[in-house]
Amino acid sequence: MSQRPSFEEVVAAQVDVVWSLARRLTRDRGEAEDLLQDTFLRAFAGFGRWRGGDPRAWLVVICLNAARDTARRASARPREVADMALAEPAASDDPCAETLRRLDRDRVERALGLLPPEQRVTIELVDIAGMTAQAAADALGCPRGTVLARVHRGRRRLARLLEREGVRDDS
Amino acid sequence: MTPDRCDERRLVGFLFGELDEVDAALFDAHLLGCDACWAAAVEDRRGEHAAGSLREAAPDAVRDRLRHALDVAAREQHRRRRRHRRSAAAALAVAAVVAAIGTQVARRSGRTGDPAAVAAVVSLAGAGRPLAPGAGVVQVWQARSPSGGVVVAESQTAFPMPADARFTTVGSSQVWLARRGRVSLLCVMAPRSVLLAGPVPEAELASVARAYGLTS
Repeated sequence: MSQRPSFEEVVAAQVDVVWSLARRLTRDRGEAEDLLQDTFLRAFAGFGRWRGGDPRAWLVVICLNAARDTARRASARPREVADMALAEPAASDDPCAETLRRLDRDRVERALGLLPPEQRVTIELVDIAGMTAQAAADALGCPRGTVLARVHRGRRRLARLLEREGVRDDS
Repeated sequence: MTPDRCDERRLVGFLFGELDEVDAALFDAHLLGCDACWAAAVEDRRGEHAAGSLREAAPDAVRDRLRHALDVAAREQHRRRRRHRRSAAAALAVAAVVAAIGTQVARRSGRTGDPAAVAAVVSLAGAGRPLAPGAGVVQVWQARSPSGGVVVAESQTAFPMPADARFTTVGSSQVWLARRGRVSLLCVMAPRSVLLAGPVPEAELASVARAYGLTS
């Protein structure tokens, strides 16, 4: 009989995925940290009921639900903290390259925010969180073909928006 | 040719590797000669690359904070389980005392009837008699077992232990067992009181309790 993997074994490889998604679903790094922690604590509490399968899809759905709950709570109370843009510690030894990278990243984030919500969310799940089309379809409650079409149309629109903004594609 | 006429579904199928080998080769050939489809494919790849650039590794400080939070949660869960085991043991001791008193009372009064909630579940499992209101059972459902159906009854208050029941354990859960004619009874005492009853061997009730996650 195979032994059930531990919680750490199941989730260890998914931290970056959930972090990337949490960054997209929140306004700043502090909120993203809270969402990441909330997601993994919920997963830890529910691990006994987890039936196996794709741990990434499991965690992404928990993250989406946690973000939704947080948004609901936030809308029910006045804003407590001013929305300050805090400087994050540099992730690179080359501050110039790092600044350019951040500028491009900001442009991509802004352009993604201009997509119709259903395209944006689907791209967040498939291209950023790395979910399979089927897992995204299950999470969104729509057919797999719809997911593929939304991703395709969203990517094209994103590319056009960025081209208009003058963001070069280095690929 | 416009992308519409060229069929977006085929283009999407091609880009996501969904077409079979022959169809993919045909579409590949079409792509080379169709500016609209080619532009759509290039935009798709550019958009994919741009979206992918938003993937990022969690910073070390964030990982440390997460590790700490999970560590605290694990310790808390361990503490709760230990407390729960202690209270289960205390409940067992109390139940044993109650059972002993019940046996003495029954002997003295000559009454050997089951507590109402237990009798109601036995009637349901043995004769299909519906539960009478006030039996104290809050939820009843049926579980499958190799030898037949098993009634699973849950109660907010613990099912009283019949005088002739005996204690045992299933996994690390304390349970009591009894038999009424062809109906076997198994009651899981904690974390919530769940009584399983059915015309099946006792061992099957234990398997059902384990399979449905009623025991710890």
